[in-house]
Amino acid sequence: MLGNIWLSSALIVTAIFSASAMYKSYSDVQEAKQIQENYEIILEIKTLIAKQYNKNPQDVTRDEIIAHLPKGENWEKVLLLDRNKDSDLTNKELVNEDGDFEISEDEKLKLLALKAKLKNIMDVSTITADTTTKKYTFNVGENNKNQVLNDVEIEKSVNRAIHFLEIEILYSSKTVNQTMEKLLADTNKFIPYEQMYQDFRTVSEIASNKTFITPPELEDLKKRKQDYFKSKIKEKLELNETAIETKLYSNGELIIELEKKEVL
Amino acid sequence: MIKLFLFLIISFNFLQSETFQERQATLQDIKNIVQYEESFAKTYEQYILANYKFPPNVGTITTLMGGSVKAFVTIDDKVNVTTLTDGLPKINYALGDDLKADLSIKSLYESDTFRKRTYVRDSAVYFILEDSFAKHLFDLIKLNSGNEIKTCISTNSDKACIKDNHIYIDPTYTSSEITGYLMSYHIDKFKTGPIVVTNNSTKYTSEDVFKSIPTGALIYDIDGIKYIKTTTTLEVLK
Repeated sequence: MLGNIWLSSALIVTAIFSASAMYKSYSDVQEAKQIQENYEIILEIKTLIAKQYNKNPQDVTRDEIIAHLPKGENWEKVLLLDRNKDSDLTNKELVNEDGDFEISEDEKLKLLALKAKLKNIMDVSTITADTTTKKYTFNVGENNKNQVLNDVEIEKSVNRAIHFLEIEILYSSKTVNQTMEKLLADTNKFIPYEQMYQDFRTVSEIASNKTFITPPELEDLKKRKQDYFKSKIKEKLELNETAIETKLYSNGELIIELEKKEVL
Repeated sequence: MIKLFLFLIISFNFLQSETFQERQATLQDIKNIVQYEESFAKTYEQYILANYKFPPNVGTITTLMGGSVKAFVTIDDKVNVTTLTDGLPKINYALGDDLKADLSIKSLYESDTFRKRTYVRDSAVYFILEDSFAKHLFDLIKLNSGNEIKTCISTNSDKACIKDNHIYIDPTYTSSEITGYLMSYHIDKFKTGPIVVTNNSTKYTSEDVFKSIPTGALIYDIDGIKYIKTTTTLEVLK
């Protein structure tokens, strides 16, 4: 009798453990699949935003993704590590504020699932965990953007800069020096450094395969880009497409400033 | 005392936390604000094209748009009412201090993601006039010291005026008829000419208005001599 009870109890306990292990295994597989699904959804949204607003997909932030998601709390789940009821962006974020995927090295199965998904797109072996946060970060979206699209961005930036020159110099009585300082200041973001894909090396530098790595070299590259941007403004003013551009082009002081080289 | 302290901390955290829906609603509002500013720029441009003058105040534009920016967002208490810088295509920064303190929101608002004809610089929103005739009118209104471009009549002392679809600069009158002017052209030909100008060639360099003629435009003086605008002055065509 006692033996039967013991055997039955043992069987029930084993069954419970087996069921729980099976459920855990099922749930892990589901979560692994969900990570892959989330990657697809986020990639689609990023591509859509990138196309619509002419941005690099990797520059699309989480807030921009949220602004594009349909309304309803369930959509939050595509930004999370799992789809549990109590998970939210404060405790289970998968997409970080920069719009990249971030997974802790403890989440081995999810990491494996994501790496499997990405193995044909990027070299996953080069992605390593941050030594302090112990998290892996994956870019979602292609890194490259068509140069034609970059040209559009550069042109838009030139137009904005010309408009700023008009308002400040022609109609707000600001000096050319003051305005040019503002135009070149990093905080004002008039110059689209990231979009300027052109080769800014001299012929001899190309021959010697020069690279810009150290801070002084990068500063030099930045100044070359500033010179290029100023030359694009001058080129546009030369076209004299509007009365305002013609007036700016007639401003000798401005033209001298635009011709002045930042690279000495 | 400790319980009260814990209660306050928990309540504070609860009040501070923002749900996904709240975040999404705020972000949608930011998008709406940017779209409102884009529409403001477009309406401002349309107003200049239709009336040949600057809008007298911000209310003129907001009425045409169906209300102030606060009517288009749910977070209306956190948004600044639009103000227009007199005589410039420039409005104030819309985000209140609360929203501005959230760096992600600030960055989204200031970025060019949702913007086409507006941009944020120096804590103000600048807008670009896209239509070339609107740009031209803007310059003429500025030439008129901000006054509307009115019909040319002898009592009108403004620098620029309009008559029979022709713009006249500095017209002079005899018995209410225009008998002289510094410059005149049809409104459709403001870019390329023909532009008819005075035969007093000293004015070509002394009067700033000649700097506004696009390079390459075809010009005749009132005696029929043909000129072309170069980057520096008017050159006689031989």
